[in-house]
Amino acid sequence: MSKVAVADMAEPVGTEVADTLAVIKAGPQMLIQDSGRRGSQHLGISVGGAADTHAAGWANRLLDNSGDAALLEICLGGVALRFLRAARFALTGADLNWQLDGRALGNWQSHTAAAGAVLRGGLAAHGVRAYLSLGGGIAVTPVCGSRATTVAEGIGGIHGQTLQSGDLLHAPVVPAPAFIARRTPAIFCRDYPAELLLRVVPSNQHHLFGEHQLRAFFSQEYQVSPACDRMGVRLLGAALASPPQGLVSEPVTAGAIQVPASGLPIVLMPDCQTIGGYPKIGHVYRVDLDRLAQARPGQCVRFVRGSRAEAQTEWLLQRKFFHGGA
Amino acid sequence: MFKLVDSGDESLTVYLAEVPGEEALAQVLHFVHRARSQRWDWLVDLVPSYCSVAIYYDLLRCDYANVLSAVSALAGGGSAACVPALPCANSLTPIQAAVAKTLPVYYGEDQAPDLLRLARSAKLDIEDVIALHSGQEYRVYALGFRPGFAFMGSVPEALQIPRLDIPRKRVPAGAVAIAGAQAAVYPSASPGGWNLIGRCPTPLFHLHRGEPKVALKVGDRVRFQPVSHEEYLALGGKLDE
Repeated sequence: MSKVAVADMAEPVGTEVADTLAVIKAGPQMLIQDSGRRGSQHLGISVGGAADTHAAGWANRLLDNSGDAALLEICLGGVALRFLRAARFALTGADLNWQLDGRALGNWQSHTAAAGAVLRGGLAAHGVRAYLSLGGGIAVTPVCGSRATTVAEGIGGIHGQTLQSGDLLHAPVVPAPAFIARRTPAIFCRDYPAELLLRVVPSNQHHLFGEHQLRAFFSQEYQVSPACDRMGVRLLGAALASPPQGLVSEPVTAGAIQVPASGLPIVLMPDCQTIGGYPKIGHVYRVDLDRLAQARPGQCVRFVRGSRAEAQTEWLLQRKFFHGGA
Repeated sequence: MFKLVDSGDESLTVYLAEVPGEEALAQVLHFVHRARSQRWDWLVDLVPSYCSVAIYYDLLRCDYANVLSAVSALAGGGSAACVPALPCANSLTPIQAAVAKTLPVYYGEDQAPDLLRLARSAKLDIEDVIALHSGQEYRVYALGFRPGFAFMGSVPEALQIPRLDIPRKRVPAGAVAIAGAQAAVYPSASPGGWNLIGRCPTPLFHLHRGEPKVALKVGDRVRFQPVSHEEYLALGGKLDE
């Protein structure tokens, strides 16, 4: 069912691939990601893919890469990489105060590096995830049509794991056009403010939640728990009293807001399992998950009622913009 | 029963039964079978589980209204016992056509850390526990948790014990496990809270040239076959981890 996507993502025939980037310091988590592994959930394989599709989309677009091209997702920063040949790259997402051979580089921009140049990223002051794309995209063997790394499953990327110092990244040798540095227009650049408003579609088991539970959910300010990762973001706040129970396990997908017996919601993220047994009060707009993917523990989150139609319109606009759909 | 509910920006879930079991499974398999045969070009994935099926669609290839109308058209299109004729002229319903599979299990205590506790709580001899666990057929109701992890039912009542209070940080690949009415075999090493009562040498999930191979599918009938230590090793079973 996903064969079309596989063909779309293949490198052009005959493209030469070369060692391009060597990892010197990988930081807490550096992952090869792309737009995700769709169509294998029936085997229990999660979708995964870039957590912040907005920032990842821009990183690829700045280099005229395909929207499905693989790139680096860097969690929190503290990284160093060496270019093994001259290459074009782009930086978006959380600002790591990037430096190339000691020279400061702008975020949300494309750049060029000479062979041997060392790129260093510090720690993010705002946001969580930075994205680094390479011209032509990172070349690794796809699994089920995707290069995305899902650490819990050991699938994708390099051996299904977070990158280690010494890992080499390959990219196609693309004929270099007369290169002009490009920037993301200012209105699309994000700096990940401390307060987050997430729009919710009243989907899934929304109807099983009572009026007082819905009022409590939509009126309170939650905080992002330290227990947040690519599988899910737990929220802290006043627990919803006696959430519905006894749900038969069913398929789940990123964005779903699970409310377990504790009454504290968990928003599922791209690496979430394919099946879950907790009732879901609704789902967060996919475009808003991009912002949640950049939220740090302790940050405030509120939910507001939205609509399925609006969620789909905005997601479709974003996908068409980055993936050049019909 | 046929209830459609939005479950994500690009997914719908169709509910086909209230209570999990054979009848629900028949409805689920029947729906998946009919939906697949429609060859919708916007279909990304169909994920069956106990009482429902998720339909993942691609908004770049369709409008929501098209999806809703196409899926709704499958409502009430015949019961599970009455499948429309197929090109392959298979006269069996999807549930009758389910494949029977046998999984060898080595029940040795070195690979079954919870077997003795289970026997004690069930007030049975270990041999009786093994006979009960391997003496019946199971059904695969869903795949999830990890790639190729099959949720099977139903464990005989005498063997039904809850999950561990504190999950193990690492359960080895091939661990044969039960929790409540559910049975499973861990396809890969992972954290896990189920009770471990044996080890299976059959690989349940692996990648071959980037393509996934799973041993079990939803609807499969499964039997556990006790094997000796020697047979387990001869079948490729591992003792480490």
